[in-house]
Amino acid sequence: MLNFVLTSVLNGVSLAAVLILISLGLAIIFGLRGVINLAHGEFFMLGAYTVWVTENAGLPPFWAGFVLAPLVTALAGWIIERSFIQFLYRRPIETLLGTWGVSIVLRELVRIVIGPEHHYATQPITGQFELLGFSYPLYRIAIILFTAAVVALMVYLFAHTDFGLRVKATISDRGMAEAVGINTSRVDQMVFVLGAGLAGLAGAVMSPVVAINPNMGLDYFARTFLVVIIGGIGSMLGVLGGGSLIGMLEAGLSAFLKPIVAQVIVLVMAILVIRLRPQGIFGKAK
Amino acid sequence: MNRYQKDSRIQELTDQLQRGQLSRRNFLKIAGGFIGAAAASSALAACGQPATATTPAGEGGADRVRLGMMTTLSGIGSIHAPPTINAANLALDEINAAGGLLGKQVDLLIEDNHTDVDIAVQKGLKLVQEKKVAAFIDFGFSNSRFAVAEKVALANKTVMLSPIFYEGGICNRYFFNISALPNQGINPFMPWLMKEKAAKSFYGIGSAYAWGIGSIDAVEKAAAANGVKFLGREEAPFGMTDWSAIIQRLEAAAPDVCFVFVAGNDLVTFLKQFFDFGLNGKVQLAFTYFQEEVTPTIAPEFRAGHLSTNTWFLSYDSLESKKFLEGYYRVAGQGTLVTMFGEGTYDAIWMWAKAVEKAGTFETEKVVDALEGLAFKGPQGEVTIDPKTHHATVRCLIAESTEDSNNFKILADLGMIPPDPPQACDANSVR
Repeated sequence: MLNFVLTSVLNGVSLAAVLILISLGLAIIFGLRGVINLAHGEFFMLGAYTVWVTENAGLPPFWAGFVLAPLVTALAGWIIERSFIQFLYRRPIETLLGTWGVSIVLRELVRIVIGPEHHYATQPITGQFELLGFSYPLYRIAIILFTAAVVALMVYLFAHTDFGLRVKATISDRGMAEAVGINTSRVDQMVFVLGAGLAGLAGAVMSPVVAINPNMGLDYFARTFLVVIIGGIGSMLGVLGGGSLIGMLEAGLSAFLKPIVAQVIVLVMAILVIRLRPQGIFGKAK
Repeated sequence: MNRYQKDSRIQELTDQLQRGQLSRRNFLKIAGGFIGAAAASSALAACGQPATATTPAGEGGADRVRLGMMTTLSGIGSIHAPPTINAANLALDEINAAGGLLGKQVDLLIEDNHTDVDIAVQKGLKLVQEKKVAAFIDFGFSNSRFAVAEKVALANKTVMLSPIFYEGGICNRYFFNISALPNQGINPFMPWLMKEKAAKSFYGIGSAYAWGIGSIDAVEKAAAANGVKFLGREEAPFGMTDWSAIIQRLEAAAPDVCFVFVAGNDLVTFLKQFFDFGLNGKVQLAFTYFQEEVTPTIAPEFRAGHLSTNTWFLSYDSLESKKFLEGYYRVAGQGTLVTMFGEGTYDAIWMWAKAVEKAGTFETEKVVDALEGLAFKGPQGEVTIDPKTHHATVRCLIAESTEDSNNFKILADLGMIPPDPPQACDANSVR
């Protein structure tokens, strides 16, 4: 019984950690620049593919890709931001459409260049954590710890660095920020690149435990949006809260109910939250 | 480009695909074409029926006839498609090299069904109504197969041949199934597992749609019939990324054998997490779909030891298999992936060709009559169509995966098994 409870709790925490890790980049771009990046799942996919490509190029399994993935997706993010997102910042519908187009192009490009097959990445940490008859996959525990570290880093970045200050200044008053010498266009770029890089990092982390294929971003796409919207836009707390709530709820319900029923309940709850508290559970009312 | 130019561009690309192997380069062109085609086809849909002048019928055109084919070039079934296209090209090559059918060369028109129900029906109608194909191969998932059989084949009285196993349930005059039903896979597989692997308890995990649910039903029924325990079932929605709760329940139930009917990407994700939770070796996995295209996606240390029943494996040794592989590698390139889906497509096209020859005409009603009871000696053996149900007698092989992703070790050959669809097709429904 205790084992069942412990496993269920860890299932919930690890699912929450995964959702938080993948949603972070989306939330940063959405919250700070108001761009709904529909290509976020494809950046995630590119991150996972980077791990696979580097592994097959004979570089040390996993770790090389793990370092390269965020850089590759950050670069892809930068190219996309410079080529057209920068012209669309004040037009949310157009960015929606534009990033949706980007997502299709990225997906089909990977399908054409690399092929439609599935691939796998070597899992860097294997085996089970065992204690008094209780066991749990070590890699899932590693994901939980890693997510905590990334969240801490982001909090530090936005609360205690010069970059964080510039971002805050740009959001609160663009004109004033420019007047005091902040290059706001550069801030926009940095935010987009950071978000894309985080998506790639998440893809790298998840690459050993999910199927690597051109469509893999789609599987996470809807739920990361739920996390951001339910949690509340514009705060790190929102992503943490939204991810934890959805992850724990879904895993908790799945322990007792059919997965389909669990997912339906989570979606109904999401609708209720959006109806009763449109700013999200942890968002500030305008 | 206007829409007619786009149309002809797509046609040109399709022709290129038909002529040669499916190389990456060709595939690139085709896929690029489809992106354009998506825009073009929605434009066509908006304008109603296009005014393109085509040859009047499958029979029309002085010396050519068209065979249609829909396959899962994109979407979650995209990993299955390449062998179906290569095998179709091989069958067409052979038929045309031997002088064609009734003195006509056969053209293959390939459409991408996006692994999607609505698109499959649209593309099917396009093939049948606009392109006037004489018959068509439908390689799709169960949900789309049901719709296409009803809305395309039956509604337009056109022969449809399905080369992919399913749970049964389609019965109409124009539908022919050239692949396994549960009674040709699951049913004989279970007693074998009981005898050879001393299995006494079973579990079923599947994707929550017709194939997954129907197959688990078949396992549950077979367990009752064999007097063994069925410990539980799990139906997972598409796009499931976290299987921990299901794996936890599976571990707690501790069955001897777990049947897995998970489709597409989800299967790979499920397997990775199954291994990560350390269940490999504790629970024997059994499949009706586990083959040469899935094994390369699993790390080698986890590849071996899984059991599957298929109608054909690359490692199946027969004279016809050798001949088929020789031709396949000639058309597609040495070492190109080949699966039972390719083998099934090859059989299906040849069976249609034999039926046309037997009927002496391309006229659908006569070809249907000729298909009933028709036998064809393909790579898996002599495939025969049951006139009562329009489902085929196919081979049942049981094999174990090894570390070599292409080499399935065949443990048992249960021979050619006649079809027994779960919902009885009475004689009227196919007539």
